[in-house]
Formats: sequence, C-alpha cells, structure tokens
Amino acid sequence: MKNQKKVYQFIGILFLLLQLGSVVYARFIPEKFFCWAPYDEHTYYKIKVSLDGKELSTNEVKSRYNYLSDGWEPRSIDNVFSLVQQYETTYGKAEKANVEILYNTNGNGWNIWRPIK
Amino acid sequence: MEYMETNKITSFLILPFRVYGTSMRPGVLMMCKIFIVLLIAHGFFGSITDPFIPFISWLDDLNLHPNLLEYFIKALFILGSTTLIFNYKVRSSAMLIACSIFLAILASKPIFRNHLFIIGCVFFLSGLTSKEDTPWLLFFQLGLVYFGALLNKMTQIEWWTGQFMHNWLSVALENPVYNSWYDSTSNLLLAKIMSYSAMLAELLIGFCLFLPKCRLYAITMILVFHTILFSFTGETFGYFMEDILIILIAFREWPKQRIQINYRESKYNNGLINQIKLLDFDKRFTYSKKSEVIGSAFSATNDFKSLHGKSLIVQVLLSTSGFYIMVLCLQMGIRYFFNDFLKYIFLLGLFWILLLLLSPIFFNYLKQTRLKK
Repeated sequence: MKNQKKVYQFIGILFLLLQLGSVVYARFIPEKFFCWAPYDEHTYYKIKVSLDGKELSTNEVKSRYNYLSDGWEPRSIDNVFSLVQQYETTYGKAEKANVEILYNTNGNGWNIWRPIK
Repeated sequence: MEYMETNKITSFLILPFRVYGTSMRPGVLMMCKIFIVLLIAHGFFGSITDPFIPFISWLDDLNLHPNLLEYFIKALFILGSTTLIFNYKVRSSAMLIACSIFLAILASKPIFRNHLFIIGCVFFLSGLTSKEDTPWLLFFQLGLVYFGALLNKMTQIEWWTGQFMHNWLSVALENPVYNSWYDSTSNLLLAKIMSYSAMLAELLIGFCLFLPKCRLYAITMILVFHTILFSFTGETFGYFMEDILIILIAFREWPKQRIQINYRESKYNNGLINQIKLLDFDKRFTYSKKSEVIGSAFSATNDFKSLHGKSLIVQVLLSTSGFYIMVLCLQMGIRYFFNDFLKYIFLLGLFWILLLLLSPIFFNYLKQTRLKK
C-alpha cells in the first residue's frame, strides 16, 4: 500500500516534470501547445482557401480544418499555421489547394502566411 | 421490505450528490464531479472524433478502421464519468476520464485548448492523490500553470511594451473604460500597468502555491485576480476561469467528523438551518437549538468549534456538496439563458458575491496568524 502510494507520487511528479519540460521546450519552437501559454499573443486572422480557382466559404474552410476560419486566436498564431500545414501536407495534399492566412498579431500590421508544399 | 427497497433506490440516486466515503478526499471528488458536468455542458463529448490532424502522426493509421478510436475514447469517458459520479472506484475513474481527454486531444490538434488540457491534468493527478495526503500534486499543477503562463508572457516583448494589452483591450474587446482612457491620453501607461500587474500576480500566485504556508494567500490572490480580470474584461477565457476556480474546491479541508451546529432559535436562523439541511447531502451536520441568549447565534463542535456566526455558516456551506452544485447551476444558467451584457452583469454579481462570501475565511486566518504571533 505504502509502495503503491510512492509509485503514484512518482508518476505524478514525472507527469509534472514532463509539463515543465514542455514549457521549456516551447521556448525553442514557434508552436505553443501543452506549455500553458494562453494569451501570450493575440492575433486576428483569416484563412483563405481556393480549390481549382474557386474560393471556399467561411463555413467550408471551418469544416476543412475543424477550426474557426476567421477570428481571434488567443494562443500563438503558429498553432493555427501548424494545423493548416499538417492538413495540406496530408489529407489535402492531392487537392493542391491555394491557402493563405492573413494575420495581424498584437495590432502590428497584416502579414500573409502560406503552407510549405 | 418495500420500504427498504425504496430506501436503497433513494440512497443510490443520491450518490451523485455525495462526496464522502470514497478513496478520494471529499474536495477532490467534488471538483471531479463538477468537471464532468462542465465537460458535458461545453460539448467535450461531441468534440471527440476519429484522428483528425493528430499530434502523433501514426494515429492517422487508425482511420483505416472508421469510428474505432472515437468509440473507444467515448467509451472511456462514459465509463469513467458514470462510475465516478456514482462514487465507484473514483480514483481509477478519474484516470479513465483523464485518458479520454488526453487521447481526444492527441488525436485532434484542432480541439486543443488549455482549458480542456488542464481538466485532463487535474483528473490524472486526482487519480494519483491518496485520501490521506494534502493534494500537493494539484497545488504543484496549478503553480506550474501560473509559472508557465508567466514565462510565456515574460518572453514576449509586447507584454513589456503594453502593446499586447492595448490591442487586446482596445481592438479585440473594444473595452469602453480602456478606450476612453486611451482616447484622452494616447499613451500605453494603463496597458503597461495592467500587463505588469498580471505578470506580478501570476508570479506571486505561482510562488505561493509551491509553499504550504502561503497557499491560503495564493488561493485568495487567485480569487481576487480572476474576479478583477473578469470585471474589467468580461472574459472567462473559454472556461479556463471556471476551471481554476473549480480546482480550488479540491484544496479545501472538509471536516473529518460529523459536526453539531448549535443555533439560537429565531425565524431567520430556522430558515437558514433548513436551507443548509437541503444542501447537506452527506448528512455531515446535526443541528441543535440552544436556549441561552448570550454569545453567538451559531456555534459548532469538533473541527468547527473555534468558529462562530458568519464564518461558521460560510465554512458549513463550503462543506456541503449542495452548495457547489447550486453555484454551478446558477453559473451555467446565466451562461445559457443570457447573452452579452446581461450575462456579464449576472456573472459579475455572482463572482463578487462569492468573493465577499469567502472573505471571512481569509480575514479569520489573518487574525489567527496575528494572535499566534
């Protein structure tokens, strides 16, 4: 019983250390998942997707990525880039869609991001 | 015989509202039960899907068997929630729920949210926390959240220049108080003050959570910080604010023995006692009318013998599951039935009433600390 308690505590500490490692690791990569970084930056963005020259509607883009296509991102905008990049290089690879994300982080002006093909 | 059967059914049906008599501390179990309600209310179950843009790429291979992972995660969640709600193997149930949340997130990047991830972490650590110990793993978890948030802010230059806060308040939230200040001064002083205050608060809270002697200060700061933040911005950050406040329930020491409450008879006191009886599903309190007129209108035995009057009533309320269920229903009712301004006003009222209601605990603690010195 006492041993079991110790094992549980050890697992708990290990779990917390893993998170700590993730917080430190996030310093070296642009995406900010699993590192307790809400509201470290605030970005207004709009995802534009066109397939065979036809631009998808807001709802179609939302269903494509299962993510808001137009609005405020309270975490790192690289999180959004990451999921769009992953979609376009896996499920959507054959479609050869033209994707652009217009974004404005912390009110510093508009930029455009495009997935790497 | 029939009466006994009815009694058994009633006892079973009342189990979801009870938090004593399991392998978890009552506070931790209460927190877990509220989180289940919160997860269901905010559509976690519906958001579980087969792997879609997963964090771990090989999870995509499971799409060869449609619905396999989705049904598996859903089954984990249903099993864990049902057994935990009915007080059966609660620690293992918490682990099952944690696994369902982690798997759901790992299988789908788009559903990653800090407010969902923290619930997973808390369920996991609750499953590892024994009934006999203080839930220090949970204290550390919360401390880590605040330190992580602080570190991420500190490394952003725009948290130091005030640009983040300015853009958030002025452009994203169109906060009238902030905008009227900015329109009249055209400088970022207020934005800077708020940025630095937020970082300082996170630093102090994180620090105090790691020190057992300072934890009551940490809890007080959390309550004050988030209530002020909500008052000024109207933001609950998804349901992150609720998550943090619900976690505080786990930190409370619930009375170990049954407690007798002695109260002076009056129409008001009788009414109050009747309300408490309704909230006390675990029947932890017995009640006795006292005849003497002198002294406090309310006194108690055992763990609460040093408490009187309003402080005692607050502690009693915080030791009944019904009180938390009532607050949760109120909060959810406001969220679902009202929009925008009315929602903000009612939630504001609720949070400030709770803060004022809980303040005697902090002031009593300060008084006792001073007396000891």
